[in-house]
Amino acid sequence: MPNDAPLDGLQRLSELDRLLHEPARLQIIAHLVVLEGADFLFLLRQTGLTKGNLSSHVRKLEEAGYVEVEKKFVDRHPVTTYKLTDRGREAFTTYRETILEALDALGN
Amino acid sequence: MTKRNGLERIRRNAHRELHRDGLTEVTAGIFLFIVALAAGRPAFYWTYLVGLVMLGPGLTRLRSRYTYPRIGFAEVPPEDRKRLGRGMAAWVVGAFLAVAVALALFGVVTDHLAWRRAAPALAGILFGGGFLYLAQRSGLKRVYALAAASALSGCLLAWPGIGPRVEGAYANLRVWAIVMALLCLAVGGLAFRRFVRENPISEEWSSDAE
Repeated sequence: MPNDAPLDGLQRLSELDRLLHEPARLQIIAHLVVLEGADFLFLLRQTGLTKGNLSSHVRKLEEAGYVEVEKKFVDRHPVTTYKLTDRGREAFTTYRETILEALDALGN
Repeated sequence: MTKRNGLERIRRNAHRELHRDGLTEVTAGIFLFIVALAAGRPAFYWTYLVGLVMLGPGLTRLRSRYTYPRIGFAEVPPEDRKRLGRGMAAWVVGAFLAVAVALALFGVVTDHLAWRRAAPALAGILFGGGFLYLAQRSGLKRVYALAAASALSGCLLAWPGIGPRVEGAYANLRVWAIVMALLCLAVGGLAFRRFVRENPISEEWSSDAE
């Protein structure tokens, strides 16, 4: 009896969110999933991306509504932090489930 | 490594990054000096309140000036309050029970002075719990060492014949608080010096992606 699981897995891969299916953006989102918010410098150091790369990827995530910018004061010092939106959190959860299912199916 | 472990690692890295500056230990050291000053002296109890109210904002101010310009700013999600409260309550009850059992073994569990003499052990275990909590969140070895030092030094100073021979005035609690305060200031101060040397102020501080 033929096993269709690998084909299902490949099909699931095509459903992946292309915006998140990029290592740099996925790294940024993964950091924002576990943090309430982080500024540009913190993300720069934690992800190891270049300034230009981080800037462009954050902008893409912002345009997609996955990340929002919040301006706040920390001890009277203005800080621009990036936060994950509900939409971004949902997209990450879906992405994670989809890729796990796909890889699981391909592994059978 | 599973995805969940990966996210947990990111969370822990963020905690470690934010605590690498040693300023938490310096703040704990200052609070322990207050303990040394006020222990058993009702006239100085107000200093506990001043310490608790002032040290939090003071730490934020120091981080804003020395830490965030070097490594950036991140907000870590608050702990689940119920879980944290249950954990703290269990630790406090456990510490009291441990001291009570030890005093019972010496046959002095009902002796008021014996409880007073055991105060450093109790304080050492309680403060050790705080350091252990911080160590588990950040994974910093030096904070694990402080947790162990707090509990061990407290128990040693409470042990009959080791602590100071002044009875009835929490003298051994004060000695413990001074020892731990100096240790915290030394450990935190060295960590801070290293942190500042290794992380120069970044041009990116507070700039956005535009």
